Amino acid sequence: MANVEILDENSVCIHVALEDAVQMVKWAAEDIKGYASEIVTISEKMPAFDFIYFCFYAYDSARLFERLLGVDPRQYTSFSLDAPDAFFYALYGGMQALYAQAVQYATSPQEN
Amino acid sequence: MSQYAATVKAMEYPPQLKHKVIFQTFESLQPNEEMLLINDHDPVPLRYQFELEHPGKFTWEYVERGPSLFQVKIGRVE
Repeated sequence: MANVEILDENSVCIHVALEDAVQMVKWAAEDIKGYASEIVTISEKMPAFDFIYFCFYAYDSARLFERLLGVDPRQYTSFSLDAPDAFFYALYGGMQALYAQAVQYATSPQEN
Repeated sequence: MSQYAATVKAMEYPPQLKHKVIFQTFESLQPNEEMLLINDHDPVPLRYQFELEHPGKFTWEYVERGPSLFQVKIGRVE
């Protein structure tokens, strides 16, 4: 599970590792329909950020990430993420594996 | 008088609003105007998003580059 370091009332530093990305992929795989928009967004946008610079909040795709934390990062205005490159690459690979199914849900809102 | 048409202190906004406020501010600029972004870490992901959303339409120049404070002059290109 992610290690959330609360620095002060406004600041938080979040440390994640490869296994956290694997956990996010597992949750996404268990509920592709529910996380369809996150799966599609992460899959489509990460390459444009050279993968390792992706920001979950750039495109409202933070639900899987926030599920890891145990705290609500939206309460903190100073927010930093400490993550190895492996975290991002593993996450991208996992999301890509789910992409085709997620697109079907994301483009068929009447099915939701 | 400030040389900037607008200033955004990103540390004042929660994470889900930071990028939205910055892009709304940028889009309100007139051509050749500049905004100042102030942040507590290097806003590298934001630059990637600018490249994706506004390719060739912005300038990016660091005024201060850490270690604890980062200031970036972002200009709107016509």
